[in-house]
Amino acid sequence: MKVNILHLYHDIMNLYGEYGNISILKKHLTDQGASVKVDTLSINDKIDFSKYNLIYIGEGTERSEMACLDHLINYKEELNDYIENYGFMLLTGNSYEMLGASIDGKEAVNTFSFTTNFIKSRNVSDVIYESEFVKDDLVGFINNMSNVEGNIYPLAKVKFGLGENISNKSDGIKYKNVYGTHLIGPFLVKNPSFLKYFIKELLSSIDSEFVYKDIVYKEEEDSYKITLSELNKRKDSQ
Amino acid sequence: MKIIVILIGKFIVFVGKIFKRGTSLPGKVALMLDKNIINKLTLPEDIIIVTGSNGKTSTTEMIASTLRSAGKKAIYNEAGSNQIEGVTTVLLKYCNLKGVVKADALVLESDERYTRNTTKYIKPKYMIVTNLYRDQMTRNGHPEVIYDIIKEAIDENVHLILNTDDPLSSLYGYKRDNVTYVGIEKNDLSKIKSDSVYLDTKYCPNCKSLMKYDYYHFNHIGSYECPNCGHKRHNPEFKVSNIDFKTGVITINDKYTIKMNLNSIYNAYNLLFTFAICSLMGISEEEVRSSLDNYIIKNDRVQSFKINNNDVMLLTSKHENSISYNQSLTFIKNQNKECAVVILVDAISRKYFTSETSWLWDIDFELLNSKNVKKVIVAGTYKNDILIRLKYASISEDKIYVSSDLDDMMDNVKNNDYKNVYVVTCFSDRMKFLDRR
Repeated sequence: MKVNILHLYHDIMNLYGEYGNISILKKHLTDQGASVKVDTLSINDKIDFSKYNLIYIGEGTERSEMACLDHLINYKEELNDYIENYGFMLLTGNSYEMLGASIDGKEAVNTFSFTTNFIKSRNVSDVIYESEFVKDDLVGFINNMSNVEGNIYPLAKVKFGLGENISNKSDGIKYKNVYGTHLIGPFLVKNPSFLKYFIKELLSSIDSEFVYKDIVYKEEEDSYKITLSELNKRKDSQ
Repeated sequence: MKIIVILIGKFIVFVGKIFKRGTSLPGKVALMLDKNIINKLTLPEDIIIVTGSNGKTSTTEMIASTLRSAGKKAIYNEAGSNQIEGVTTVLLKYCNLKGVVKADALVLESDERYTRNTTKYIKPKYMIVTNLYRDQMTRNGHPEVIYDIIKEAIDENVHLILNTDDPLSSLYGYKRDNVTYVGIEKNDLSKIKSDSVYLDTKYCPNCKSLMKYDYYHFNHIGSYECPNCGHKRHNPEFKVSNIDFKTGVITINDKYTIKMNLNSIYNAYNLLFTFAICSLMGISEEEVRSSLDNYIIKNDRVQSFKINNNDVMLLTSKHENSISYNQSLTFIKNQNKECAVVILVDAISRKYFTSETSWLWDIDFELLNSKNVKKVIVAGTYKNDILIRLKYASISEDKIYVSSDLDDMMDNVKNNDYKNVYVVTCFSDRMKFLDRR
């Protein structure tokens, strides 16, 4: 089974070690018997979305995000076709904002009707989120300078910390096979249950006969448990 | 009123000395009593602010020391008191009752997030921006955020001294006249291709066009030019024309040789900035050279001691600052001694809580694949996060020891004959090692 991954804007939306998501995906997918190919493309390249089973984008600075939007907007129709046809996307940090109607007044890809505005302060917080499709809570950190308004497809509810804007108690995107969250960095490394769920979904979409092999990744499980317990201690002390 | 505030400030400085604490408290109280107290003091004409991500403390200390050996009375703020309160403390400590600060030069290390507060009250003659790196992004935000914040502190009159090799901080000099650039020329360790895991200025920080690089010293530090907006590495007025990493000797402007006590390119930048500012202030270059030759930094970031048969060196690095870690890991590799390396991440910060560990993925842990490194001991709350990162850096599993707890970490060091042990950890965690010796 072949899996073609596009790590888009790998060299500019890479503020928090996001390549870690690709490293762990590659390892776990290979462990499941898939043969994985990862392409990296950026703001001076041409994109052919139809070649890929998964597109990943990480977080960048606000200026980098705008530079990427300038590029991605040229592929508005192709990208929306990819999404409507159940193509997989994983978007961490501020990158999912590009799929809204606008960022800071500038036209965006418009897959979704939400709008994003830059703010002077930063939304910074350790977080615990709960989602409907993974039993374990999601853990991580958000660090951005934007507010998302009018999002009707949230990925998760906030249990601790901040969401996609200061007043909203939710975060992210879950629509068809698009998964987005403001959680930064190697989100998949930090959340083994989500990683397992995501791999099952992705590989089942490529091969309907696919059966997940249970493999224990002890340090990943332990890392998650410790982080969750540290965050819960923090939550309970507040 | 002024004299009362000065007296109270001086009294708290005195009491603080007895209890060996409170470097920012006197200033804090004085500012509470009179927020304009600094404007009422008479400051020396030569004021130098040192800001940026890395190297501030060492550079500030070396500038003050060099000025002093040239016969000038230079005062400076000590590590950890680099916000307005700490600055005020220094001024109160050294002023007379009329409010005249008795010094020829005031050298201020300034926290990059708060420089704009300090420059509200203090107009520096010179400002050094050492560099802008990813540093404590949970607290600071990313380097472009810090770039914008420092920019608010730079007025048109201040003479800037900038690192021409850093595309981000050198941008303050874009289309500006009163700038002196310093830089390190291409040397044996310069690389044609970047080998770090990220490159912050791959795209021009000014216009986001693809930057053209001739070579890299490390990370995004090197020689570059933007084909679109023209932002480029300027020829430095003060340059390290040669570095001999074998002997640890740098040559400045083809003429002045300085032996580095801490043999690293990072330290070479600190020395270079010191050389530049002291020369600009009229100290003879030979005098600056001899003052910096074999200079031993007074801060205790590097500590050496013995544990049983092992020679241990603790390299204080900053969590959430990958360049600081890379600096330590590069040092260990270049020392080329058979060794074990302890990586300890227990509390990510001593000032605030966070579980954020993505910065581990920005560190070039691949450096630990070096043959001289025989063992890597991981420890602390986030040991699993380190372990995962090390595995993806292709460090072989039999080379890694995961300590069950902090005592087990120390037992491992005590019970093994590694010859040399390097401990890489942060201010927030280093006592957890030192106290268990």
